Amino acid sequence: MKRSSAGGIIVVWVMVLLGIGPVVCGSGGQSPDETKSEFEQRYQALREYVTSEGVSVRDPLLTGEGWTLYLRITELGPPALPYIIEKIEEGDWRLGGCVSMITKKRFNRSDYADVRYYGDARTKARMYVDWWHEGRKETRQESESLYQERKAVAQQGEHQAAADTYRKMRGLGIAALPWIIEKVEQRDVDLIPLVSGLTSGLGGASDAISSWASTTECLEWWNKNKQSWTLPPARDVQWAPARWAAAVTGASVYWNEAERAAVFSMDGHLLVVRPGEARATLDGGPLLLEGVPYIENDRLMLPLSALTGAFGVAAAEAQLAHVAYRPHE
Amino acid sequence: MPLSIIYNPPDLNVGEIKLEATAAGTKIRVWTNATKGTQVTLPEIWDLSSEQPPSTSYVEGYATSDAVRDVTVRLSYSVGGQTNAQDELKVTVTHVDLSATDLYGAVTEANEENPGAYVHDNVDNDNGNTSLGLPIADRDETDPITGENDLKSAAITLEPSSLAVGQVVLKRSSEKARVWTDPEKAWGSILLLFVDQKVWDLSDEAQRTEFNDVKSNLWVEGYLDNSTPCDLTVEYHDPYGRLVWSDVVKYTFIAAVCGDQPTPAQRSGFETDFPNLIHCEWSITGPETSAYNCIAWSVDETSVWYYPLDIDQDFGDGDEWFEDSDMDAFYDDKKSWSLIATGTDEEKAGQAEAMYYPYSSAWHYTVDPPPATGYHAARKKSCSCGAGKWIMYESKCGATNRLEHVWNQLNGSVYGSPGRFYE
Repeated sequence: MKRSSAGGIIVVWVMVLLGIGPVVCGSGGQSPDETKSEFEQRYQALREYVTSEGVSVRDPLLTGEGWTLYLRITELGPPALPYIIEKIEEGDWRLGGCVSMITKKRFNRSDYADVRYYGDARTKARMYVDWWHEGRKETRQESESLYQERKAVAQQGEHQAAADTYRKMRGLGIAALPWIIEKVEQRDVDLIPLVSGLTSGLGGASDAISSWASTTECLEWWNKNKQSWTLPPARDVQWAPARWAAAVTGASVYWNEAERAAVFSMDGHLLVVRPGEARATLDGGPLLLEGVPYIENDRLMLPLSALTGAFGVAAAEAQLAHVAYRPHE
Repeated sequence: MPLSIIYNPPDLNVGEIKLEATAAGTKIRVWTNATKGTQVTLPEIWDLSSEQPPSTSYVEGYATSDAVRDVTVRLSYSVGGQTNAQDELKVTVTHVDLSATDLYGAVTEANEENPGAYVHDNVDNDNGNTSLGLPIADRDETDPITGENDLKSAAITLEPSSLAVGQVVLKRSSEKARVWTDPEKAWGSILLLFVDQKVWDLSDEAQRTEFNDVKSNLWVEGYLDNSTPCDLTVEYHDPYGRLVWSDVVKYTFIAAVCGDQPTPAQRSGFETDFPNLIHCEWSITGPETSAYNCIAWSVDETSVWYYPLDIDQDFGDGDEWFEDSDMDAFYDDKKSWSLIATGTDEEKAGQAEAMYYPYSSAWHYTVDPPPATGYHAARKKSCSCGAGKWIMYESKCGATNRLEHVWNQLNGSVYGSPGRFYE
């Protein structure tokens, strides 16, 4: 049994007694720290190679060795994205291609503030950073909108327009996968090839699902691989242990061993959060979290925004300011 | 050469006048007027009872003399087979020729004036001399240049070679041409630099010896650009100062002069990467920068960087394979340029606005490293460098400089060769 203190509130965490084992969060079963370490190693290898090449008539990335090192970063998959984004923010815009290959997010010409820079790698890298912090939060709404648009044009027999909309849906990238899976669960088998397309082509993350898979096969595949394909949170997401978060937001929480889920309640609302799933359930409906909850030191860690967003704790930031969770204390 | 036939009394009406070549007659021909007219076939006899010889005939040199004064022309008067008077004229048939080599080899006689000879404007820096880190153009140095290789040979041929009278003159029409007697501009080898002509008086033994020493060892240097050609002329004047013969070679001096000549370090670096680059035929037109790459420059952009991944995703079919067709789509999108389908590569390069050096195969960039060579593009350069002899392009080379270069001189193991041409 472990104890955690937060602003005078004593929280007792009982997951060990409940027999919850560790849940992997990174690629290939790696923890975030392991992913970060692996990323740094691969990134430094690339940097060293690029530096050794100096100013050259060939782009060092577009050499056999350079691109191989570049792909090694890409092969870390979605768990490496926070670290890649961080490097881009530090000025290494050439890593934008890694984000592109991992997320399969595509920008349209109309997404550019200045269309003269359409296709420019440096501009795209900046756009990926913006998307990472803000834009991707709109993915669910964009997916739904495109989905409805596609249905409408398909019903009118406008096959080309339907195909264009499908292409745009694919351009939302793997950020749209949780939403797409929901549609597959609702028996929209037309979207299974989209799942396949978004999860194919990357060497390291996971085996792709076939375009011809059945609904059952697709869902089984997703349940098995979703941790590899769910975008991790932006690094500015505030994480907290579940019980501590419940305490400071005034919610109650218990662990449902049968469902392997933490169940939060407040003012008649019910929030169910499962480790390893970015999609929680709020009063029976889906709620996409900013990050994938995970187990650390036998505690369920989740984005604070899961509770503040779900229960409408408007003053959460102010309340939390003086009871801030300090993970290393 | 006019030949006067004079006899007295002029109204003589008996006997015959005979014009004949008594030695080496095959080396000349005689004509009725200065522009030839009707040939007078020797020997020619005029019967004074019924005709009169022309007062003037014209002698044409037909074959060069083997020796000085080896041709003898005789005019005689005879009556009843008895020669009463005669006069002889000794003729030497001379020939002077200026032969040249240029960037493309020996210049044929027929091409000496049109199109003429093409020689480098000697802007490069073969000896690596610098001033404040900047290269000193070889053309601006009058000291010997170690490793100089841009001067082209020329030679004067004067026949008969034993000629010891008259003058040989070598002259230039402008200061764009300099003539030396050594390919590396050795000390004392200046011939035409501070003066526009050099005269050798062959009757002077010392000058004759000097002429014979240098006549086959002339080296022509281009000193200024190609805006107008420069004539180099050799003349032979007879002992009376009359022009007997001349020959002209028209020189055009060409170099890549839109940019700066490379520093020794730049030259070494670029010529290591691109061994087909030739001195004087490329220059630095833009500074080192990672603000834009070759693909961007090929569409006149200087603030973007296009990777194959971006070309595929944003302009091509987005299938995660970078293919030549993705580049076709890129140029169509950016410039509405199409692929040129017919002609040799050189013909296409002359016609195109931009050319692309393709990969050897399609590249599945999410899985594999790229093929070893390819993914470069160059923009046609509309300039007068090369005076029409060269097809000039301009390349941004990675994060290094922008270069102007002859269309195929970047070919090699780094970029491969241009294989797709767009207009």
